Amino acid sequence: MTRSQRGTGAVPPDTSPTRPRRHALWLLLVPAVLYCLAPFVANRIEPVILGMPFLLLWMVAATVISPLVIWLVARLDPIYRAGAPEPVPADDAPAHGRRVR
Amino acid sequence: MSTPAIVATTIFALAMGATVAIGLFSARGRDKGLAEWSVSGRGLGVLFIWLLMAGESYTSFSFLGAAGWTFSYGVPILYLVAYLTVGLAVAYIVGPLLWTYAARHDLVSIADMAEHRFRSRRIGVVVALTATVFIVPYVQLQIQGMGAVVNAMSYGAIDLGVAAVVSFVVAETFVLVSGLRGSAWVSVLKDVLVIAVVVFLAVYIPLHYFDGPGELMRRMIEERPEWLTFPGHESGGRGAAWFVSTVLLNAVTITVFPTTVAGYLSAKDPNALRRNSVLLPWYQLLLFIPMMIGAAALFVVPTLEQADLALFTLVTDSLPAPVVALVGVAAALSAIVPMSVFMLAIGTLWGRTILGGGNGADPRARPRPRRDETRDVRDKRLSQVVCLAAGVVALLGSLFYPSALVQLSVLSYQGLAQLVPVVLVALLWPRMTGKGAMAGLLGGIAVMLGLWATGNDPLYGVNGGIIALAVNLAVNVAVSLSRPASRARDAATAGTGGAR
Repeated sequence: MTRSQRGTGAVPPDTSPTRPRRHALWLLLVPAVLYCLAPFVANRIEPVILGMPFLLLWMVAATVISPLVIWLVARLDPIYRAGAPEPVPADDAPAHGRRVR
Repeated sequence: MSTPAIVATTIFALAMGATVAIGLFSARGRDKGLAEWSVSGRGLGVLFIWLLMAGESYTSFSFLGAAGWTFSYGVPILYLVAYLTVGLAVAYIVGPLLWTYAARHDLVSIADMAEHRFRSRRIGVVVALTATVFIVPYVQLQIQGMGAVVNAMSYGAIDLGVAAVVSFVVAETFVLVSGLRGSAWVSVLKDVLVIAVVVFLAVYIPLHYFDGPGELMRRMIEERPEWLTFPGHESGGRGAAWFVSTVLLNAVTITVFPTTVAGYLSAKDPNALRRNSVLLPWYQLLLFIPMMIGAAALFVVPTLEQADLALFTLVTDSLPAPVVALVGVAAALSAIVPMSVFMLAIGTLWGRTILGGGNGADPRARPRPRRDETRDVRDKRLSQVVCLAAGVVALLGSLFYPSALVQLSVLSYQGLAQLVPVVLVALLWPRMTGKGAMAGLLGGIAVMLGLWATGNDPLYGVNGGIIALAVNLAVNVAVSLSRPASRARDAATAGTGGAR
């Protein structure tokens, strides 16, 4: 067995008994919504805040809020907390440590 | 050569030497097979993943095009920040998804994954070919970008052609030897330099030419308001519809880009990727800085003809040669790192799937001997040959046909988007069949090319690629559902128990 086949890259065992609820994932839509709203809702220069035209401010704000939202998703995601592999619907083989090499 | 040119050229040469050295040394003591070369043995932790993916997202376009578009059009350039950030949100799911599937079955590329998912070598080959056609122009663009950068930062001393060849040689050298790990290490150098240079410019340029960023903003508002709202200034219709459709399309597409996927698959566990989705968006803030410099150029060199040189014109005008050289090296590495990963990705796609006989998942294909170390090394050698060949093709294109492939690059994202169903949706929807995936793919590409060739891209402002993708998915679903559910299930689960 070569070094690359041991240890690293092994799929972590899926210890969750059933599929956990991952409602937090819906929050991942927030960045998309924020940016896509911009040309409709924020397409103007006024009000100028912190010296920045409004559209630009919105975009910068979206770029700052997005990582915070994704961080929140991770905190609320049971699969993240378990460090578990991602469920792959098309690959129904049970992952209980079967492929650990 | 003038003194500044000599200084700049020397620093540049030293930097390139250091790059090759770092890249070569990263391979020491490592495994020699394909998995190590193409996905770093699935052993990169959060920090390295962050550095590698940051390195891939900040390309020469960030130094040239970002400032250039701001100069020419204004706010439409913000699509870049938008799609990269939204792409990271999508990647929170897609990254671990692809990683899990690939790690379970020892897969190294999107073509490898498609071949396994549909148990079909033909599909694997089609995916590999499609991806190759649409990535090679990117390699060429990076080479040309590096040419422009190096020529500008050396005050014209280094010829465009010479710069192109140098970039090719440097990138090929470390990537052929060290594979993805080499790119990750060079990314360390690149990201440190980029962050230092860009932050410095953010402070220096506004202070040098104006009374600070506040005054620059004020003058933009007063003198160039057209740049500050959609559709910007003479941008060819890049308004709301274009922005939304392009951002959404690119955000999803970037998650199946072979280079992004190479990054995902190299992680040591799926949480490294989830953490990356949390941390990497912060890096995108740096993109606002070249944009600001492009805006500054509107006042400093309003008659500039080559918009892409907006940033470098200000840099060479306002800074001493050694600093100019450092900026140039940062931009050059921003071409080299993505370029190396692109070539590596192409090599990987061909090495195992097209030339190497596939991964054995297709029961109808000629049976392969069991995968073992010599097989892996042989796949790697094939990949390296293709990696070199792809680079040569792109280099020749940039030297002799500079504009030909640029046209193709416009279609690149749209073309690669058509792979989203067969690579990504396929893992989420078990009912998808191979025939459905292929029908969708061909339909999508046909629509995309048709729209473009008849001048209908964008269609009423909407990105042609997203229309093509919609058609792609519709055809895919229709054809897949036309197969009875029980037969589809049998086909999908046949051979699940160990495709090796």
